[in-house]
Amino acid sequence: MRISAVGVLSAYGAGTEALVQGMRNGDCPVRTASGMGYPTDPAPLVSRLPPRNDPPGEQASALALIQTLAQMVRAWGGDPALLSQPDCGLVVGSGGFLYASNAELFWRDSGNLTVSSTAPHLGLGLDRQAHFRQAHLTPFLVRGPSWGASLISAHYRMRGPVQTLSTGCSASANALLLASEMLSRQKLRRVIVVGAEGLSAVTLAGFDSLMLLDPHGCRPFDRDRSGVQLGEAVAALLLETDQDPSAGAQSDGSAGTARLIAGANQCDTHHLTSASPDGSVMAAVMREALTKARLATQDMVAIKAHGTGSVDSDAAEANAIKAVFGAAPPPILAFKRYLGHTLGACGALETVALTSCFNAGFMPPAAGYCHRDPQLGIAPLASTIAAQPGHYLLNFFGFGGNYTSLVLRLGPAN
Amino acid sequence: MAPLAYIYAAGSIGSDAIDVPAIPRSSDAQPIPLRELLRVQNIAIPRLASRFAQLAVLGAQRCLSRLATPLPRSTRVYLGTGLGDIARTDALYYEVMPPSSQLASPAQFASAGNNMAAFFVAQHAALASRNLTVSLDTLSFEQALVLALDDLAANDCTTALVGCVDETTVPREFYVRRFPLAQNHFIGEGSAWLVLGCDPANAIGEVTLACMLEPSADDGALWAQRLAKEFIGSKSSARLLAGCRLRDAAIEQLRVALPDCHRADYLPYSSYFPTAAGLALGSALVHRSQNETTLWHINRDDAGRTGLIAIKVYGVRT
Repeated sequence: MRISAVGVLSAYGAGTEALVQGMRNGDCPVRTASGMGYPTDPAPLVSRLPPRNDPPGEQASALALIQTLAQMVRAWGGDPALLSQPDCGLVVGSGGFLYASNAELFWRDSGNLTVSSTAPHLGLGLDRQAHFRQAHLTPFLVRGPSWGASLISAHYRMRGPVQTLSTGCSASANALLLASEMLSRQKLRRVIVVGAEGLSAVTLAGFDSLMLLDPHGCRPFDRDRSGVQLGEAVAALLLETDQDPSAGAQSDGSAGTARLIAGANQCDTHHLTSASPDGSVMAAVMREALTKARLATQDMVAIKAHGTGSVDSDAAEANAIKAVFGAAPPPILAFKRYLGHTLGACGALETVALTSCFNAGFMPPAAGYCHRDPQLGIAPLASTIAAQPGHYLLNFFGFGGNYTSLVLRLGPAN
Repeated sequence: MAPLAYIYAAGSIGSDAIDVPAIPRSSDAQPIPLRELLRVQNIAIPRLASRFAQLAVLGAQRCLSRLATPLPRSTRVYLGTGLGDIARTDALYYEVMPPSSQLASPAQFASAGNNMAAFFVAQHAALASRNLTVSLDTLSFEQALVLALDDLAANDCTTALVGCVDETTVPREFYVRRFPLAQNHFIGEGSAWLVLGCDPANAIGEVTLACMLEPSADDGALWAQRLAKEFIGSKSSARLLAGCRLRDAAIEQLRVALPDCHRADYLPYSSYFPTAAGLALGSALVHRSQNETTLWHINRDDAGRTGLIAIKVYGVRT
């Protein structure tokens, strides 16, 4: 299925140009997670969105979503009215914290409580903080897991199906897979896929409690890696069926000629937060994706690893890559030092990053990687290489053993 | 209508911890003591599993226990939830944010994701294939069912475990905001599951339709007539199950458009929660009569989409 257009808001700011320029230059826009109510000192390194001139409070995340969608629609160049047709669907993938982060800040800012136009049902004229506390309501309760999908759907007056997938860090990768299936089964003509996640004090505290935050930032597959570098982002992709001759006809070309070929999703029930150490389920999902794409390992130009920088997850993924590709796999890409681990958004965000770097003619090295880990037996890409057209395998592995691999074709078909 | 999939088993747990509450509820649900039920049913589930996940596993186990053979490992799991694991997430929030300002408990955080319920179900049933959690304020069970049927139709899997779960742990005011309730509507909770496949052998029923109709502002006579004409058939003797978001006026229009349909009002028994549809259908499959029955479940979301499910429940052979 054709990726006709993309939009992105990441730690580099809005748009693919800033993202590509930053990744080409090796810039990793990490900042400390200060001012978020996060309770430990020193605050860890995170990939936060740049400060924006948004209205205060919870409208910020609504604007982040809508503006990123608008960016995607502009890049697409088609008539936005087509998005409201019944043959256009929406699949949002998110871990769910997007909706909490800004609201958390809002909550604490008791002097500036105003009623948001995005949530008029909250009641006019109330001091919401006091009201929420009295009613024991938190942002998590007020904003349900499908808040973002409802917002986007209402904004574009969408009449097609609307889904929100909550599968942890593989959520928007599953959204891409689901969209691709809807198109290949000719259920729909185009599908908007959105990955969205906001930094939250709760997420930070949770990963800290699991001792999964690397104080030095993400160091994927590195000998000294010790955890993740959390991030936040919104990424949007428009997928269209290849059967539609008008697909992408008016696109500005920023999405290139990317095609989502196939993918697979499996569940590793070894443990809630830990992969099977031998990487067997990760290997199985990669194999299933390749089988569905009718491709062999030697057809892969590169692997975009999940590469969180956590000790166990990277070890399991390394074992899986060796099991599938042998001792000499194709170049292994790892993006999370650049972008942060954006949890439910990483599927959409890293797909946008990969296609954007490809279109700019390069594949970036795994920032944060310095020292080969002899126990892993593999190493990520250490220096920039020219982008090669062909097929790419993308891995996304989440808590709850939810593993997804996608196969993308970048560049013209052979 | 040709079946989209066959149903081999169903099981559910409702607000009274039984498949079908015996009497209409008279108060908002008190949380079911799940630990004791898990112990009695000899279900081993890690202690860090939230109550939300426990509820899902209990419902799934009731379904799985009615199968003659265990599900194949390749069975896919599709779970719908309207509210998600709000209790655990909410507790984390109060733990971390001022004035508490503490680190989150690792176990609490690790198990707080909405997809953890589906993970524990997969772990309990030893399933390793696709595992999706669909979160929507309304129609999440319907959407999960549609996804499962699509995968079955595409031969991407041979069996699917489709379920729903929502729990009651927060004040009624929350429900009134997110899930409008009348004064006489009581809050419920529950989890229900169906096992679906394409082989008619050993089926107890079949899914004949599951779809989403595009949003419309209208839920009056035209809407009801369209449902009757295009889907249900005005001469149908099917049973209508009106979902918890249908307005009284819409239900009345359905009655007018479908005079031969019997309305089965399940909400006084299940009480109100976003995925009560699953409980209603699951319960009907568990408590089959000797006569074949077709059930039509109709619900709407805030945007005006109509979720439509038709299930044929086979009669019990005597």
